[in-house]
Amino acid sequence: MSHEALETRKPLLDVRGLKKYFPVKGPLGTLGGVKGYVKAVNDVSFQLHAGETLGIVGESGCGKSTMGRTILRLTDPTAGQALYGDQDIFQLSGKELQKIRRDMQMVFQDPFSSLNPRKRIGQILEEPLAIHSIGDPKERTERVMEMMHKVGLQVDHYFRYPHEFSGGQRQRIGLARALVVNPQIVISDEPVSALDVSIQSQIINLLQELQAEYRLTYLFIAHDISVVRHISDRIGVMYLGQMVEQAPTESLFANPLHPYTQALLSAVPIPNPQRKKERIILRGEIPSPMNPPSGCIFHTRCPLAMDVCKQEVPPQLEAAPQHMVSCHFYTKP
Amino acid sequence: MTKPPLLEVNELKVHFYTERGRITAVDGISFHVNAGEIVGVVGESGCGKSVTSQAILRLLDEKDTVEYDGKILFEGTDLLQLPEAGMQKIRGNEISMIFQDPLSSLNPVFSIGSQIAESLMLHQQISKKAAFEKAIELLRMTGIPAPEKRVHEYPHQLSGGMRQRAMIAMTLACQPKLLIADEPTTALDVTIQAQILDLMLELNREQGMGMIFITHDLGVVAELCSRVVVMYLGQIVEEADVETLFAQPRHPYTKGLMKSIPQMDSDRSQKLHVIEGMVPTLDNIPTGCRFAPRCPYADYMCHERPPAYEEHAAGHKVRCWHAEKIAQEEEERSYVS
Amino acid sequence: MDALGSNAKRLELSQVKQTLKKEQRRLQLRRFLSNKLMLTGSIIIVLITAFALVGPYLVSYDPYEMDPVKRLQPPGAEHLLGTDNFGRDLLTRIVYGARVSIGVGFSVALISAAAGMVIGLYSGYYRALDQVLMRICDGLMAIPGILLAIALVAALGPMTENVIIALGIVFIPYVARIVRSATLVVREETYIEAMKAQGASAARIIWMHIAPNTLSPLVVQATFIFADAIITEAALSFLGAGVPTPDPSWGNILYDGKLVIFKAWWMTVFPGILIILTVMGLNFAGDGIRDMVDPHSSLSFKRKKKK
Repeated sequence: MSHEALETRKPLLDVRGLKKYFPVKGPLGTLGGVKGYVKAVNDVSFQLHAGETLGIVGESGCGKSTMGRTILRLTDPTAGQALYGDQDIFQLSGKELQKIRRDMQMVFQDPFSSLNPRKRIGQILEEPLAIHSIGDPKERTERVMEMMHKVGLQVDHYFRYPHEFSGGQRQRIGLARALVVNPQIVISDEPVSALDVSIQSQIINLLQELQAEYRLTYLFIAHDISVVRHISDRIGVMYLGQMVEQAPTESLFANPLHPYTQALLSAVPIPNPQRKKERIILRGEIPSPMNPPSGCIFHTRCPLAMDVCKQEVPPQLEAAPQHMVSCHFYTKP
Repeated sequence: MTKPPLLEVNELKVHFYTERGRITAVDGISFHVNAGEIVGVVGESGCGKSVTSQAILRLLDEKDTVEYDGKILFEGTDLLQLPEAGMQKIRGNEISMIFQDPLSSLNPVFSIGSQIAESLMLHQQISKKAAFEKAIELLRMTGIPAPEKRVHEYPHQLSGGMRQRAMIAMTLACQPKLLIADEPTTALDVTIQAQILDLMLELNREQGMGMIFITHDLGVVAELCSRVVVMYLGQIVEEADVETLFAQPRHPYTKGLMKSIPQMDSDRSQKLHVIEGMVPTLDNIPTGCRFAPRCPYADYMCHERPPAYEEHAAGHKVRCWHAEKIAQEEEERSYVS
Repeated sequence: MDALGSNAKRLELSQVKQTLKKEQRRLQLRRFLSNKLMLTGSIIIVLITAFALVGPYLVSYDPYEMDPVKRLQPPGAEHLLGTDNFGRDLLTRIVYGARVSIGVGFSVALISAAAGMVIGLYSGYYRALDQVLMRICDGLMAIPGILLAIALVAALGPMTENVIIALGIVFIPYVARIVRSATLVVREETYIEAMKAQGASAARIIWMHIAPNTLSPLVVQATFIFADAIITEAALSFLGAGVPTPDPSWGNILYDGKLVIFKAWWMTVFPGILIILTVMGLNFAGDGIRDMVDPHSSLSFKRKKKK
């Protein structure tokens, strides 16, 4: 997909200024009033175009999962817009929200707790169809059988219970549950990180095959950078609730601009003992999202930090085509 | 080699009695660790890598349902023959272990300083005050900032990376000769993982401590270890020094694993290589070669007879009927590229 | 997919379903049989239920027929378990009393389980409701069960139905607590979140996805309440606030026997044994169910090391 085409076309999903703050209560609970806010997602904007995969990487606590859940309205946003078609998802309720949910599905990280242990696989997969009242029972069974075949499950799995399956197969079931209602967008939150290496590649390939077949759009959230690199067309890097860099995959890996991205990429262990590379070892720990640092959120650990970084929030700028970065280092004349 | 290895595991078998009958989680593995060497043990869940490490420290003893076979020689004494009291002297003092989840291996009601001091006092008979001072010193060594303050903090007040550092400081307290690390960085973020790996390399260099590093991450192995053991379904399928293993894997499982992980410099338009099927359960072990049902090289012989674990080149042991063929293929491939 | 293909598939599906159901049933049966506690409990319950149902057709006396001449006769050929202080056949009264006692126990368990489940599910799911409902439950639980039951029976009037209602109310908070805590755990599971992401309504999530997962602790608790209700009813009767005379229940047979305990031991011993047996059977079954549904306490093969 060429970048010019991306720019001119209307995005499928347009997220603007998304914020999600969780209130922190004192020891007295609600009575003591709110002590402060955990700024889990702080002013994040991005666009998702039809048929592409946008990868989101970041370390634990950077807010990437919260962002995915907020877009699906599993928690309510503090501020921001998410435009899907001509509707703002954050303004919808009731019937309209339900309609949109059919188009946006989620695949979860934990293949063990994401399937109800008391339900047979057939029931689990038919449930989304029942919720959206699609088809009669016979048609639903047929649709489910078709989907099971697509994700590589056998007919006799229909009546089995989740505990009879391995992690990889459960993730296939989770995928089938998301795809059975023919969604447009699939948000997957660490879909392969709980799986063994040899199973992981099976699921990644399956994700890609299904994307090609159904023209799906993926928002792929993960902490494993090489996996994200493999599957994504574009990648957003998150740190402490903010999107610090956003770029097409090739551009990001060839030329990472933000110092955090550079450190992150250099920290990934490479399975090749002959290539000893220079690692950028970051100082210290990720600050608490309850009171993030002033100015640039990364300045406490940044090897390039300047005085301006402590005071001013860096603006987002387009350093190369489609390559957005928020760092003072590049604003200098 | 004149000096005997620090640790020598010889035909170790670990059986469990379960609801489904007797299960052999580790089936006749042999490997050794030299003093000051880092040996990586790689494998997927259920391959027996954690059971092996727990067997070395005899941590499975409390369950009545375990049975050992074979020998684990640590500096010449067989750990499996030692009485529990003798084992207690070895644990912590001679051989230490760090785990994946440092939170559950630290006692939540004691400060980290007193936990380190306690293990110092237990093994070295020094006063409480001296022990605390030593604890601060150890915390400083593991790169914890402001150790004078941190020493009084409780495990829940520390972040994951700090906790793992505190765990390492605790194991260092008694200067063990061998450190077993069971997925110590799996729960950590990459930037923190990089910090911990650096620390472990540094300690290995400075203290000359032997290490067994158990992981599923081939990247970590490549960066840290000097020799690697690959396990599949309770057996070792391949062992080699790290350069040889990554350059010329001779077992199809090792080869498949390396190809199936997405790499930072791989061609993104190519599909990932896939090892077909799943790891069989331990109560349903295939006859013949254990990897045969998933192996692209498998032929009649593989399904019928289990291959022997043989040395194919100096220090390069493989358990495969087709090891020579795969080695040739790899050589041709490296000529092309 | 063409029609023929889908038909064939459906045929295949129903076959698969049957074999799998059979297989799962066999597995369940094997687990049941290997669970000795459960097996013993179930056998005791079945026997006592049969005793209560079939017994009345086997005894030849009328439970209300008094015979002042034959008061307090010891067990013998004519009256197998002897007679009570009004000369009524004790065996007959125990058999009819079994119906009342087990009936009370069962109804109380049913009422408190049903009401407790609704309260527990909703207060576990809606935080605001939780505050109100659980405070009411706390209030009810603060009063000793037997006092509350006496007060309720006194207010409602001494009738068997009212005893059931009173005991039902007494036990509701215990069920509600347990269902609520199970709900609190289940509602945080990812599969519930997955259903929310699908847009499932709250009622659908509560009844179709959470409720099945609270069923096993509920059933266990219900068996304990069953047992508890039999004992509490006996205690109420013993205090004179239970099933009103002349209707027999194990409790009021005991109450009558209390007055003549030194002259006629059989009046307290036989109903006492039955109460103990029933309660034991129910508790065994309850423990057994818990073991069976909990994968963590699955049958562990304890075998000593050879060395």
